[in-house]
Amino acid sequence: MNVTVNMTALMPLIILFAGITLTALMGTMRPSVKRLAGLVGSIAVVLAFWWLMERVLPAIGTPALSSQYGMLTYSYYSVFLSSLVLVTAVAAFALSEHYLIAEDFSHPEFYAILLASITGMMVMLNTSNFVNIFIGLELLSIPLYSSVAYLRYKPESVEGGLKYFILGAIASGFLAYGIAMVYGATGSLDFITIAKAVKTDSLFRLGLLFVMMGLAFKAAAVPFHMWTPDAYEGAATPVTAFMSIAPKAVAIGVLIRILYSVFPQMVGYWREAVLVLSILTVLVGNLGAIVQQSVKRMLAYSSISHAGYLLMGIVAYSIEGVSGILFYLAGYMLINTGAFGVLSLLKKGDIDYVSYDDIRGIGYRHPLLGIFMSVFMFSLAGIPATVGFMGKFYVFKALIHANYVGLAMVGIAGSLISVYYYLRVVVNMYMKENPEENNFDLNFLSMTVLGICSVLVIAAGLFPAKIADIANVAARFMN
Amino acid sequence: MLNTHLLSIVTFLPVLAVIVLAIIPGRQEKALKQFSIGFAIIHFLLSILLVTNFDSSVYKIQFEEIIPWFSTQFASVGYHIGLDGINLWIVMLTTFLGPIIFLSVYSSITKKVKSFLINMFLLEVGILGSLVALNTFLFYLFWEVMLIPMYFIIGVWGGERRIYAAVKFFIYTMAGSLLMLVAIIYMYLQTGTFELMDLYTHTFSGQEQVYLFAAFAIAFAIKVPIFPFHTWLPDAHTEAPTAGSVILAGVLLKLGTYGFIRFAMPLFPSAVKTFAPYVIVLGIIGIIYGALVAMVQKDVKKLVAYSSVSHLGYVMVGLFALTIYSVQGAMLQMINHGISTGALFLLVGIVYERTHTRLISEYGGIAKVMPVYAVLFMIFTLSSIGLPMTNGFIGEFLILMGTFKSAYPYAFWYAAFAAVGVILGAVYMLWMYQRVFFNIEPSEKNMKLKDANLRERIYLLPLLIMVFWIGLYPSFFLKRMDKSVEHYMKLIQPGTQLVVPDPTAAVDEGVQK
Repeated sequence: MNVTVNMTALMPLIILFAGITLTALMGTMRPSVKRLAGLVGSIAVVLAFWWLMERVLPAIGTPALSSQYGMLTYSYYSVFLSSLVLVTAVAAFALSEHYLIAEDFSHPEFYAILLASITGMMVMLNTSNFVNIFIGLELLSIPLYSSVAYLRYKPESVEGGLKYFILGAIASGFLAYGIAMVYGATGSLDFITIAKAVKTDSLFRLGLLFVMMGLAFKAAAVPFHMWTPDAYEGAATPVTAFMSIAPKAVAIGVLIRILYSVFPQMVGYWREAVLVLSILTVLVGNLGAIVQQSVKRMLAYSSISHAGYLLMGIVAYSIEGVSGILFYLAGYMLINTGAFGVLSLLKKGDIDYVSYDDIRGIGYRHPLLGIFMSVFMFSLAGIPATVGFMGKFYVFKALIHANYVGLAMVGIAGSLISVYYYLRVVVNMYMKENPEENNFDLNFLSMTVLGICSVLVIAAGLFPAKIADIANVAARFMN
Repeated sequence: MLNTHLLSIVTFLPVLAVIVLAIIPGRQEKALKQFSIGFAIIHFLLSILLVTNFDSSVYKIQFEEIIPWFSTQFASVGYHIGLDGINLWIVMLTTFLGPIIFLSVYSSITKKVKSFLINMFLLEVGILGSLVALNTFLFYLFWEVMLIPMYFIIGVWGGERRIYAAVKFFIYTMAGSLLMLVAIIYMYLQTGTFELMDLYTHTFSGQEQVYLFAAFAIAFAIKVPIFPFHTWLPDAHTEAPTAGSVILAGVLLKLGTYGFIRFAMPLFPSAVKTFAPYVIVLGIIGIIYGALVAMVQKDVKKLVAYSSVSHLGYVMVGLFALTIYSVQGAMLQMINHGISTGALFLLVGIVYERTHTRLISEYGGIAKVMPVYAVLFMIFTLSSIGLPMTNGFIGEFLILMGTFKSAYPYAFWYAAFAAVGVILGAVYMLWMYQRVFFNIEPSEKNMKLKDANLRERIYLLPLLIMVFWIGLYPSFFLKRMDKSVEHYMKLIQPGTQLVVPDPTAAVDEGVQK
């Protein structure tokens, strides 16, 4: 067998892997060196990003990126999603610095674990082979389980991690079974070969169903969402920010890729399934969020509901829908990084002040933080002039275009419900008095990240053309 | 140069105020308030240019600006604003109320002054933007953004149940506007444009019109509010601070009726004919129900709030009677309501600041201690009732006459029932006036009340002038609406040749009778 190694294609993974090794090694060094782990991790991510943009992007579609077995393939679509993951990672690293120091629990392993997860995501996104989907998923998940349980002296952190692990293992099992069945039906693991096979027998169908279930779990779609609130609540807040965006983007992205380009002949079959899934997700996510007493847990449910809107976009089955989803994801990344970023600052020592009562009057004691959080909340609620609205606009527009007006109405009902609990955050920040004068230490790095996020949320809400155009190209070139 | 961008300047000028206010430190409350008053006056003076440069001989959109805003594969949106006879006076009302509101804020808002003023200016941008927008997407944007400052104004500076009222206001309005969003997207997919003027020329099928009209109508009906959708209004009004109530009653509610005139009705003329009788009946129910509920209120402010439900019922009846008189009357009544109800809220605010109660039973006989205040209150009460010579009369008269002459089979009964509201209006307003100002000797506490001071008199004076200006010389206002209303009638009744009577002559005729 003639195996060629394509360095251009491999390089982002190599850079990330180097980052993992370096940060892990730094754990054995002096404390003054240890403290630089976050920086080293971020540099690795930025370098990988730079390589994607400078070397990989121009080479897409040329032989320079060709690989023999479809193990590592890049497309505009996969690069778009990979960049989302990498940007989220940098933001999460920046937020972690402050959080972990406040926690007095700063270890370089933390960054090594997250970098491993990011590598898994890159593997999963940039492939055309089911084997790599599975490997990527495992590489994504296992570090994530441990990063949720990372604050090991906190019971809720360990509990969240364990729940996530057990349920996640079952989901991985589903995915593996599904892939095996598809292999059994078609005799191949390669996307293109399977797409050409045009099978409709029950083994093939069951395989598709199992694959969908495995991915729906990672995207936190109802009824596979049970782990979400506990895992999100238990994890260190910057990790929650990362978890609520990157794995979701990857799961939804890969799901779209598989459904649209591997199983297009089964559209009538999976469309119904995704339709049901999306309605359930939007409703359960939004209704669940209403009754929460902690903002962090509320945002966990809200992220479930946003997975629902994204799934709705899949039902549209059009380029317009995909480009809407990609735009939505880009906006969602900005908003959720910001919202969880604000929460990550609300801490003293190792105690998080993230219940509704704790944030009372924050808007007056920390005016800038209050404005940021309001921008993020209004944006999540889908108020115009923010990117959250434009995302919903594009997705619902695609749905109406595809004649799914009823489904769009369900989505709209969901976002109306969501207004109530997002406003509740603003109500507590500005309209209620807090007898306890809680002042928090706002560090510069985190505030810069939040500032950039909130400016971009509004800028991209008023002038969405740039991101929308890029999302468009990405949606067009999926393979 | 000035003329081409004048409307944009007027619309976005308050943003400048927001920036300056953000720079002034929050401790300098006096400076903040004085700056706001000065700025609002300049803003109003600048907006007068819109009237002086307005050409009343054509129906065309004036001060028009079209710039491509953003364009992508799946949606392209333009920034398109303009002014014609339909929105001219509401825009003017907004800028006119500005200085008055800021003058009233001078004493009524004492905590978090800076944020309040910033919210107020942002609200003004939202309102002006949605009034001048001629692009459905742009309109939707302003329409929604406007909610946020209003939500803060009610929620932060309101009364005891302010949070409930603020959230209810927000969710209610949002519920309606999301339906409108679906309709806007649907229209875009059918026609490929968000431009209102292009949408006017497109005829939707009968079935489409019914659904689209319903979606728009619910959004606007909640804002107006029309009878079954009105429950947020009394809560919002009672809890809002005075300045908030004034802008809510004065302008915000008008956006609902304006939405009907600008969007819902001309876009879907055939659906209008289907729905008109129902809307008129709901309008009449609103008139009578609002009046009856107002009658039994113990709280003055709530009484004025319910009177708004009643007054806006007239506007709806006028609009859907589809005669040129009634439409002009409705448009004039929108302005009138802004002036007289705005003034009444200000007056209630003045006495509330002194007594910290709004219960009618706590007053009584205060005409003795506050004579000037009592006179002013009387004039605005009469204007609200619609006494001849005041602005309210012109509007109600045109609406009732237009309704009476409309082509509906039950036109007579519509007009007759609507007219009952005029009588009921007199009953609840005068009865309230009597209980507050006369009846008994003022209580010991009320003996110490101070009469309206100079600042309060100053900001009520312009409103007073407007009451009589519109009441005695309405043609100044009607003339600038004429052409646009004529054109509007053609839009909603395509194919019919209109013999356009002169409404000002009709008013004169009516006054002589």
